[in-house]
Amino acid sequence: MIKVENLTKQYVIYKRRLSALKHLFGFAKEGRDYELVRPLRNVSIEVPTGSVHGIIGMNGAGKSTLLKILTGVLDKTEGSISIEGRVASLLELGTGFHPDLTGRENVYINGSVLGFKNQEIDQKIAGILNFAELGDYFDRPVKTYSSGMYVRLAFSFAVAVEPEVLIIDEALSVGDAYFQQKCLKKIQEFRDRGTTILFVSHDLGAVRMLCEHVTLLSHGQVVFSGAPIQAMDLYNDIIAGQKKLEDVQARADKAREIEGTSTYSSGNEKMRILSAKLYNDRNQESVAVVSGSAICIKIDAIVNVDSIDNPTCGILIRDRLGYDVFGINTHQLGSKSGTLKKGDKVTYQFDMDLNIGPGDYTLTIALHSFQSHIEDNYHWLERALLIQVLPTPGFTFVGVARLEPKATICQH
Amino acid sequence: MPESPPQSATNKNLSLLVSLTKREFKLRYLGSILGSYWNLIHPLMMILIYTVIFSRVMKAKLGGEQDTFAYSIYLCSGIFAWNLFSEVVNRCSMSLIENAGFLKKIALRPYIVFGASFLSALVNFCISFSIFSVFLFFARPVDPLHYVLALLVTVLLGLFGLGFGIFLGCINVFLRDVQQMVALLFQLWFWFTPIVYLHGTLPEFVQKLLVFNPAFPFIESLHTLIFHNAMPPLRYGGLMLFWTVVAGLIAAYTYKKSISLVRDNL
Repeated sequence: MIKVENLTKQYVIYKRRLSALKHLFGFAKEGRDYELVRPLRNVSIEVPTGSVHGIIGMNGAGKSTLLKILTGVLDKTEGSISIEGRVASLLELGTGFHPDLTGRENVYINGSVLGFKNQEIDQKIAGILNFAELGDYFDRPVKTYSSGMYVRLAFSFAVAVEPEVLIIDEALSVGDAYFQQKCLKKIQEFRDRGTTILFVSHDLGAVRMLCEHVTLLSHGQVVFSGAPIQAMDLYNDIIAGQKKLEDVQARADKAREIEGTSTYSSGNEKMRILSAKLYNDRNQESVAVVSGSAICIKIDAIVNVDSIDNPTCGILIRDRLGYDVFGINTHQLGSKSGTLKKGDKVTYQFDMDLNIGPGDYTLTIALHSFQSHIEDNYHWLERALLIQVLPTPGFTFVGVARLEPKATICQH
Repeated sequence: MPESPPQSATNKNLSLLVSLTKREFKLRYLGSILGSYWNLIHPLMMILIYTVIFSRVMKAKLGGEQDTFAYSIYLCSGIFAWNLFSEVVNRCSMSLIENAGFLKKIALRPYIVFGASFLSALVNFCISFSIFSVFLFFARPVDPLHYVLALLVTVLLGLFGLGFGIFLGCINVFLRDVQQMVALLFQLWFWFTPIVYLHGTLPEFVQKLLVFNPAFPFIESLHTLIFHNAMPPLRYGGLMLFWTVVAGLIAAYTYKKSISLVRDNL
């Protein structure tokens, strides 16, 4: 059981080096020497024993601050917190490890720091080694580890203490897919055993899979608390709202975040893409949509030359590794706009069922003549949109293509 | 991070203190062959150097029929305690920052790290002082009462250092110049305190200033107890208590005022 009531956190931001000293001895004035910021304001959350609660929100919404206060690493300014049961947290995994000590030594020292006796750790060590799959590396200094190994050790250590309350912060965003799945499975195991779990993540797919209840934080306040699907819709609204003023470029920035490369824009600009938007099956603008659901992509464009004959608009969906998943254009689909004049605005709309697997994808958009952009490329916008595809409850599969087979079993 | 299995808070803090102290030791001598023997090599080297340089000069000043070890004993009776003091202050002034990784991730009460710094310095002292004690036992036995009092004085000096160190440690989080200043201060302080020399060798007016040196009553008491095998004047006792209490109060005030901000700023 985790109960947070009217929690407020206030940080003091000093304007000069010496301001902090003045503040300690009571000589500082607000405004002149320091400013106050409140990353959390009147936050109330209640997580009943044995349930999984998700916390989502954009960067800077106050998620990490909340978790740090819950785990006792930071002091609260106002409000009350009560947590029942033994708590384990995975705050930025394994930062308590010392690079010069071996994995084993770190486990013992961290364990004893957490109040475990050496004999108790002796009993857990086999389990930790087994789960972390470190092999010989377990007895080598942690500084020789790859980042994945580091995370494996940290996660294994944290789960080995068999917590009653587990607090997880972005734990699954590191490590390879295999280990991520292993962690997820372990978390599900904990859930089934009745561990209370607080799960903070950007990974909406994981939140949706694990959580029964989701709280949405924005600018340090609870915006919504309730069913995951509604929370995610609101989350999308917030993201969409913040991007409203900016157009395609802002979306592209979002896409850049996952691919680590910049948006690439090219073409002779005879025609220009003004905006690209993704709508979910309830016709709401969204960045996260459910696999297999109906979506709509709308692209607004403007003509910059006197006359243009039957321009083609194309879309291309790529997975996070950059492989083409699906691409098509209006020429291939046989829809024609006829001749357009300077200043004409057109909207291209693609309606489809999103029959691709869960994961992050990008959408590339192109305006060109005829069949492809090779002849006359008007405007090509690489990674214009990020599409986050969420898993469908009740239909799990692996891979990019959603094939929806029927299975029949005959006994002979 | 996990709370311990049911244990009293004091018990938990104590075991934490022990494991943090162990960790400090382990890390300090990691990758060295001689390991904790370095703890002995350093003071031995220091004693050797000072003995070579000062013993002739000081011999006359020590007065009377002095044996060859006289100066060494005089030096050792003060220098080990000084080393403890300086190590405690230096460690404490940096311990919040050095343990930032821990403090930022694990719900420790931050004063634990000061405790660990103090304990590890104390262990160091015990090692070197016990060897000195054996030597002392054979070369120039001291009245057991004086010996026990000397240990008490040393611990008191350590506590004075702890208070001073906590004060500096808290400020150091906001102003890193502190740790540089501490190094400098201790150079000056060491030579302003009669440890390698006798306070009688100082000019008259400087001797008067020594009253304001908080370390002076401690070191001088140790000289009296161990080297002269006599009771130090009572006012030294008063001064020692006074300084320790003052340092303790300053530490408590600074810690209480700053600790929440320290956590925000680590």
